[in-house]
Amino acid sequence: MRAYLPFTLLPALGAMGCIAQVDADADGDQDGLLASDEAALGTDPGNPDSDGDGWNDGDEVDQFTDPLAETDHPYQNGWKIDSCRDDVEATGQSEGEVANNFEMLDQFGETVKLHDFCDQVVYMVFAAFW
Amino acid sequence: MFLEIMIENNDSVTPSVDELGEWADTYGLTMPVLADQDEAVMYTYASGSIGLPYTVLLDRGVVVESVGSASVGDMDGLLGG
Repeated sequence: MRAYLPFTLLPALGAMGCIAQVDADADGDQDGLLASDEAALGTDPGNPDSDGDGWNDGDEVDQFTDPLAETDHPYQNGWKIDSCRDDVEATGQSEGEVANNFEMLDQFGETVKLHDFCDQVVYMVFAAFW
Repeated sequence: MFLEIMIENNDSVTPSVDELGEWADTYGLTMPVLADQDEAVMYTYASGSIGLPYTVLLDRGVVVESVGSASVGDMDGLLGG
């Protein structure tokens, strides 16, 4: 019996080693981010939606929203968000100036921010129902 | 990007989310239809007596290009169309 002991222990030790080791190139929670990316971002490698806002972490990174902020997530209607959104430095509202950000509720009850569209030409039409 | 910004409903007050939804459905709008609470955003651009629709055109970088009477054609110009 003693002669067989190393052969029975080796596979068991190998399996224990695999369990304890986190594979940086794996995407265990299948949110589109590798474990190494999640470590850099601070997101949970075992939870595809770290902030619980209904959007998985990989989609949030792709659309430049914060995967750790429940109130910040892509628009449900798919309106494109630009990567410059957090870098805009507003100067004023007159022609030639960089416009201040605003937040307004849309037809889905989501909050739309002007600076989300910072790399697009934006045409605003103010109107009334009457 | 088009933004349709509603300043008042038929009762001359800020529209609710439900009313924005009905407006979007009625006219088949897929762009953002927004409620400007107490017309606050419009009056960061406008002053005094204004006519509706009131338009603001922004170039890339959120740079104010034209205030008050920009046309869709002006937008095409910025887009290179």
